Amino acid sequence: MLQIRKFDRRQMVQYGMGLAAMGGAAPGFLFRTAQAAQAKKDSDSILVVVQLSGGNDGLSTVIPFQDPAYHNARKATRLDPKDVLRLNDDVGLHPNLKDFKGFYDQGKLAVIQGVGYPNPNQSHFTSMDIWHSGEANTKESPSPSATSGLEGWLGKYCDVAYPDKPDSTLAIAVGFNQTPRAIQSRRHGGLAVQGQGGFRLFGNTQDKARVEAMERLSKEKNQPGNSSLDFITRTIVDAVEAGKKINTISGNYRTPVVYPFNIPLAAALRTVASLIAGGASTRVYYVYQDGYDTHAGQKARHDKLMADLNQAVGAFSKDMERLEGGKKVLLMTMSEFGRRVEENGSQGTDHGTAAPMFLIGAGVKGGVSGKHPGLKKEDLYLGRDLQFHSDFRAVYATVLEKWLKTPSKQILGKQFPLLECLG
Amino acid sequence: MNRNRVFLSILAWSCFLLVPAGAFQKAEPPADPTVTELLKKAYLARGTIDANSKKIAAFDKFLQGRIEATQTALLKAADSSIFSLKALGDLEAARKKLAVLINGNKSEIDQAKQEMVVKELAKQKAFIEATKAKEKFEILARASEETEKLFSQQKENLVAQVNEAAAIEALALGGLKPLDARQWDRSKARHLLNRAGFGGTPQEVDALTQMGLHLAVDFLLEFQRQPGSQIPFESQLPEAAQPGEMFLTPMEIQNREFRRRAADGAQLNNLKSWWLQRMVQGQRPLQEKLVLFWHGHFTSEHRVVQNAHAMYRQNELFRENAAGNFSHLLHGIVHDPAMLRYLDNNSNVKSKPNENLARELMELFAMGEGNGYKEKDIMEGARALTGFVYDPLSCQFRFDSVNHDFGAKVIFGTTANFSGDEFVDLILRQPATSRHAANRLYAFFARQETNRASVERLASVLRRAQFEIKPLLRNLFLSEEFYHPQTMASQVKSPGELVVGFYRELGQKEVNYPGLDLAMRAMGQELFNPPNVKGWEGGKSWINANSLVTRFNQTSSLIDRPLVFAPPVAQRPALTQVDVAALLAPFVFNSPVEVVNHMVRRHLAVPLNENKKAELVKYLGNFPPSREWEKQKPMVNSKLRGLLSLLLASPEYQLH
Repeated sequence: MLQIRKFDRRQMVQYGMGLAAMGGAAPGFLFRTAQAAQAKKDSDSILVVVQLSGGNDGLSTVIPFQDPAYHNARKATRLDPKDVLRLNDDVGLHPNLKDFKGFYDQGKLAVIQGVGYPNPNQSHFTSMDIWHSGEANTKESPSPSATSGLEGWLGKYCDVAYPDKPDSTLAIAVGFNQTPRAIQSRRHGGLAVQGQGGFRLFGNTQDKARVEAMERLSKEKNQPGNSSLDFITRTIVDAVEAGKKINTISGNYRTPVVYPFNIPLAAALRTVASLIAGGASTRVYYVYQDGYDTHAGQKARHDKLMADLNQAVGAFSKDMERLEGGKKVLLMTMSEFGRRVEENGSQGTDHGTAAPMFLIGAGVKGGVSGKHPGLKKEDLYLGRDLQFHSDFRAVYATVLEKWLKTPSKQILGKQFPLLECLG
Repeated sequence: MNRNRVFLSILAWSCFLLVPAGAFQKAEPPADPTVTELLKKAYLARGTIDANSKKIAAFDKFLQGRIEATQTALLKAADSSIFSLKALGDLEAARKKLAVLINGNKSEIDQAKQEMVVKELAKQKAFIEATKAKEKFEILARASEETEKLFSQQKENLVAQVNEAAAIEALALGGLKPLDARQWDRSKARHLLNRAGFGGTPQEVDALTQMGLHLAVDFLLEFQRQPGSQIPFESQLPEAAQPGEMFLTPMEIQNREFRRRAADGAQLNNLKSWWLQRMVQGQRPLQEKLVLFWHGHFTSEHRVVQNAHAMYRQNELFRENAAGNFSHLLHGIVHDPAMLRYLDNNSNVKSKPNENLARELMELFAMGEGNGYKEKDIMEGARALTGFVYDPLSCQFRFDSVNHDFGAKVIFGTTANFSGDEFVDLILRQPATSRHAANRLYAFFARQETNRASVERLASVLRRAQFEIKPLLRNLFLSEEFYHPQTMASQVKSPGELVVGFYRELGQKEVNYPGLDLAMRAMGQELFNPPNVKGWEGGKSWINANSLVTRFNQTSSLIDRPLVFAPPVAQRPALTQVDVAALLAPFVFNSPVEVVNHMVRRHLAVPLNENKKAELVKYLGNFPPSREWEKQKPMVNSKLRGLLSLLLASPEYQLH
């Protein structure tokens, strides 16, 4: 909120200009936002979801380094027990997750092991859809596009927690071309922005009359009777409203924390940090790191992914420390599935099932919860994949109820047992 | 792809009747007699439609000739009447003159009298001629009316026969109900051209309208009758290994990799421009549209494949079989080097199978996620596909028998020593396969929201036609549902459809293709680089707050940008931009309102609110009529470009 007061008149005009193209005065809107955020003080906790896209290999993230079965199954991708960052006598973190280990030591990292769901699906898209929707048994999807436009679990949260005025910026996905299902809601939409959210119309034109005509045109109604047309128009209105907010708040963010260069996840998290620091009314941020579908040559690729994840999340957490000691923000990682226990013929692993999740933040009850799923043949699901013991919806329910202070039953369809990993 | 397959894929769909079942498509069990009977019916119906459509077109032409002849006769009669009227006028004048002169000079009176006689004669002559012309005209008109009536009646009969035959054909194939050919109009022709192509100029839409429903669909669908694109693409293989390879230093090897990558990147850019040019300029728009469809269906990403030549080969596989046989595409894709690279099949070996190709083959390419296969089938299928490898430098498919698993596999509950191609045949036999393909085509060409009943019908057409794609597309493009108000103008254009369509509507042939590629990338669709193995999601997923603003900005700068890619600054005069005034030269505009109406009709598939039109007229301001454009061309073009960019930044333009 401090950030907003720092904005001077000139900056406001500057950032408001591009949007003036579609009408409305930006500054007043912003202050209203700040006040609204203040009024909601009791529940201003923020959730940041980091999606590890492609199926992160849990066995190379939280490593059962004492288990001979692990070393037997993983000839090419195994990690040396002496490099593993030990959390207890049985499991340890990937050597590149140094900052994560630091959080663990400070009691700010919870590791939930063996997370999955019954009858696991091993398609990237279906399993990701299951995680996004929060429904384990999604109906068979008749067309690949049939699920677009459907609500996700965080979208439903927005609908339940904010039943009044639609606000497309309640949930923002940063770095996405398209709004991911997880944050799509009926009432609020959910917004996807690529970078710093630059909404500037006809940026290069010298033709002022054109910009003015555009402004006037945007106020005119459509011919009735075409729902696709109405959908597009509504989205344009959202674009303008959201652009006002994001441009103004994130436009010239200053932070002493250095975010690593050249890591897309770090850039996305920096934008998230700027919006949080700027007092945006956003409650959910959604970012992703791509590249986890390691069918071949996994070791080097996964090592790099872990290093990038560590650097990006490390910088973000340090940045958030500056704001009320990081109390406002909870970060959660997820992936559509883990990977097969046995390696394939190309030093990689095929699609698997259960995997660990991380929760990071000052509000977390640190520690390792749940046992590591057994690796012995008889312990495996269908003799090849890890057997889950914690339903991902129990983790969702815990985050919804204990962190976002919202009843989870309506969102997830039934009441799941809450975990101890949050206060 | 063997020659036999290519040859067969070129054959028109009717050929499947002539080829004994199973001759080119092992997957299909011998056709049952009722299906053969139905196919025969469909074939005969198609014959009636073809013959009658041609007759109808001939009638139209004849009637047009009749109307023109009648008009000429009418004009002649009118001319004669005018002549006689003039003669009458002259006679009157002569009478008056005589009256004036009645008291005057005798010789003058005589002269006037004589003049009057001459005029009287002229009048009589003119009168006779006029009467004759009138009679002739009346006879002609009567005859013409009768012929017209007769012909119209005959035409109506023919159209009724066509409608009936089309209904029989659809019924026999189990397809969708066809549209009544009498309901064909300009807006439907435009819709067809948008969906089964990339749109076109008003003249092209008019031409399709005049063809009638069946000939218009044929015009687009039987694209092999149109000349193929003459734009050459000489694809180069990656730099081959040198004889002294083993003596290269690490630095030299690194340099060679560097060269390969640079050459590959340049080739990819050329490849994109080449394909875009075919879309913008080619005379077979449906073929290119289908290539785009298959590229999104059988997805490979260049960023993974890293071989533009292999991507080019895959693109040609799609083109050769664009509306051919789905079975050839499915067999082709498991032999395709780019796909084998993309889905890691070189590491799918007997000792350690890699499931990637088998999984996507079932989940995305053929059957649809969760439809009629189990995890076990994927694992066993992967074993069948072992040994299907490619050579990265020569880009050739190779069967590696050493790594192929010749053992018994259990797929869909059947046990045998299935080969990779037999695995594909097994997949083709699953009912889910025709349904999935029909579903994808329906979503791409008709409606984004699936309609199970309609998809089921299209799947039936695909099955009865033994996986020939044309009968399915014809049934869809002829169907009532395709022209239903909820289908027309309901789809969000993909970035490719948006930009290619823009140039085709405008009739602009000279295009900055690398700029087009950049714009499409910004809007979220890079050719040869779909976002993931599922391809582009399409539909409403193209639209969010961010992507819409990008669309508006990108189309605007496409219009303002020079046509030559990155010329030196000194050579960037305004003239290298799109010359809209020149493209509008065939039309006459007397007012800004006429310009706006024309452009709205030209570019928008959705009607525009009158208030919005008024705003566009206001933007044009004090705009000269077209006869004065030449004098103030820079101003006129700048305004017309502004108008275009406003139209393209409308919610309406995002739909077709």
